[in-house]
Amino acid sequence: MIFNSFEFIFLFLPIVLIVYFLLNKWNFTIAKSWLLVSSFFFYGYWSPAYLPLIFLSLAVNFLTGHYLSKNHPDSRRKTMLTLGILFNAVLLGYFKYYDFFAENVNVLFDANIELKNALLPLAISFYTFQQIAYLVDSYRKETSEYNFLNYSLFVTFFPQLIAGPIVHHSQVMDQFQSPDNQRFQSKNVALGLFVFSIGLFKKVVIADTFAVWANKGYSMSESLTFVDSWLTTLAYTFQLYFDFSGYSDMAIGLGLLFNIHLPRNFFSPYKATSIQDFWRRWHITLSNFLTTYIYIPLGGNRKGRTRTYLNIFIVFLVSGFWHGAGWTFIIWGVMHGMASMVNRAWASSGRALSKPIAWLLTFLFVHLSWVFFRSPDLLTAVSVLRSMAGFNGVLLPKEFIQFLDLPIGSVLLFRFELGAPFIEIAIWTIIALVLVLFTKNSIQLRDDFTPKPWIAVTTACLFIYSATRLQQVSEFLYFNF
Amino acid sequence: MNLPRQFILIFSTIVCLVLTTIVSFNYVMDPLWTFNQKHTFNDYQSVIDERLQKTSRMFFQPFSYDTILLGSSRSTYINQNKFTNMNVYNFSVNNLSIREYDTFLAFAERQSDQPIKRVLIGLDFFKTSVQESERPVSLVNYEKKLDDPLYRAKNLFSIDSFRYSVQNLRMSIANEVQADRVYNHDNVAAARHISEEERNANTAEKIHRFKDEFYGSNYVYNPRYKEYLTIFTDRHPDVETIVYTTPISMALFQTLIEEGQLDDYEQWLHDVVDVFGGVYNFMYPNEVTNDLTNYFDGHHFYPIVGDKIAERINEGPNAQSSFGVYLTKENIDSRLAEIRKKIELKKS
Repeated sequence: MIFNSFEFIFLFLPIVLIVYFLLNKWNFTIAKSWLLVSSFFFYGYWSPAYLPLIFLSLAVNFLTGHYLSKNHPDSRRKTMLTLGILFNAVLLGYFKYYDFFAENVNVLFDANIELKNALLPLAISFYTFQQIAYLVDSYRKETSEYNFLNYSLFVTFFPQLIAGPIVHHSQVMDQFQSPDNQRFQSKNVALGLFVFSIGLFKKVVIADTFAVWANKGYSMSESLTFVDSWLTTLAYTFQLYFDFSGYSDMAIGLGLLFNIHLPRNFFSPYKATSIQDFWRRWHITLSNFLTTYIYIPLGGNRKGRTRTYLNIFIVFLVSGFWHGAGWTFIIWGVMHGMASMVNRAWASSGRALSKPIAWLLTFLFVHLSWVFFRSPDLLTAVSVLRSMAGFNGVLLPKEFIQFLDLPIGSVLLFRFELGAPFIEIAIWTIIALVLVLFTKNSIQLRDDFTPKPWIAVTTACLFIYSATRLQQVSEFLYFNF
Repeated sequence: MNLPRQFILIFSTIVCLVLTTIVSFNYVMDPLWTFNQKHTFNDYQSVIDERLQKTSRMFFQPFSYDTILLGSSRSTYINQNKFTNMNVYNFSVNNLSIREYDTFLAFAERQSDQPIKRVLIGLDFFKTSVQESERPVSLVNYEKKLDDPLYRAKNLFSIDSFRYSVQNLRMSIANEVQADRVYNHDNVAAARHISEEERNANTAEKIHRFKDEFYGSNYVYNPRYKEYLTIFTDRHPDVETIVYTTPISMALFQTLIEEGQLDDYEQWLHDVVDVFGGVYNFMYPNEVTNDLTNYFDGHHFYPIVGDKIAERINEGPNAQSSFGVYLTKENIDSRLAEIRKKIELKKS
């Protein structure tokens, strides 16, 4: 089930919410059990086949963590931690990376390893990371005595289960245990509705609009020329931001409905003026995880300059690989790793760029790196980048020439085929740029929120507009053929 | 009342009121034909997606017919009630590919309360090219939508459905067909009448598009076309088949000739006759196709021509008529020679 679906908004959510607060009047544990069962239902809705794996993962990690938090000899605890992390790594590796490695070994060594074509269990990357953090912290004796119900809820709480934020146990465990959260708190519910509606609007109205153009452009990558390649890639840049941050907003809003405060995950990343700044604003919970559980254990910046650069690079390499099992993701990670090293070297040189130039460089770099992130393969990425560089011709859309009344011959005209007129896509792109650069982000709006009537009316409008666009009824193309 | 509670109350009230209005209006207007609503305020129904609308009607409403009419947009203008001695449902939809006919008939067979005895098949020449007939398509994706138990409810909440509901209400109040194709409650399509000037412009545009997109170098007669027809007959051996070709205007037919597709046209008719034994051919110079006023774009005829097609089929293969010739293996060569002669005469 996804948040922006009819089933979720009009059936699952109201039922789960109402029953949860009704049960809370009776018994907190039963209410939380209801929330846990609902989360499993939410997860298994796509395919119940995913459920046994998450049950297994929960049980093994909880028991391992429980063992690690006790006063056993350090050597045994260390062995147990290693086994626990290995278990998670093997689980993730088997389902997500086995075929990738097999394919590459087959190509490199002319081998014939059979591919598994295993169904990638949903959210496995997210819940694996959350649980690795739990194991490490249990080893460090930083976890309290969690019970299995609260632990399972921390991992599977449906607002954050599928696409994050990657929640750290310390951020929510107390909340799941606090009896204060049993009560229906109108302040949280009002705020939750507000944030959820913003997220829904970002996803359904903005991201899904850009998605049509980005998908169309990437599906015809070989025929893209200069203008449409830039509009295609910009469409994806904005689609990804509004989609992912919209989803995070919805998760935060949903958490609030249940009195759970989830951590922020985005903070105007396209306003960043350096790549380091970008990663403080984009997928913040992932950055925090990688910093805490990879960068710092590797030595962080405490082991000299070379090791610091190497550690930075490793973190981004892991990040790239975590995002997907493919060379495009690895290249994307390598690009960000390299850029972060350059950024660090530049910062330590004491020189500074003017803010607009720094922003432009950062935005362009991030934008170009998304080409690898989005492309299904390297050939497509190279083809799109070639078009962006003008190697496939610099043709101008007819509307553009007519609009500016340019005295240019028909040789420079081309059929603009991204699925909407050039002007429409250009206007949407400009509006999106203005929104991401000059308006408050949803976290700032959340923090400034006051439940005034006019905000309630605006929120209702956002919600209605988005909710009535969930089911699109489109006219059949080629009407008269 | 404290502010957060007031916020929740305002939000909930607005959301409930607006959504209830949208849902109720969509339910009453029923633009996707899922609730069997028939009244004076929805007796003009816009075409949204005929595959969706017609399959929905068949799935959600009582459906009992012994004959199914299959064809593309031209065939939608044939009134299903004009056929005698058969109870016909016109399941024609826009842009129907020859490869879809099978799944359409199979779906109709599953939905009908009585066995389907007969199928009327409308064939179009321009749909015989590789470009227009090679892509594998079927009705499966539409059937999947119907399998969703929440399908009807979801559409009630849709703002797109709401827009079509408003459009249908406007047409119904004005009692006027305001689009190229509009249906009534009985699955009968009507077309907006247009001026001569508009017709000429539409026809010119259509000819231009056919030259650009369907005929000439873009056209290659699909060598597998006959195979697709055979697959259809093999899969439905117990269903009687009546086949006809759709009449296009001579202006457009002339373009076909100029673009070098006359031999392909003849090949097509030979293949159809080989597979089905006979075909009612309406696509040749005759009193209907020579008169451009029978069309609104040179390609799509008005329902009155659809009535004539039904009438001709009702008369049977052996009847003599100035509109429609029944081609068989025995007469096809002589009939095609006559058509060539007529074309030559027109030229001179």
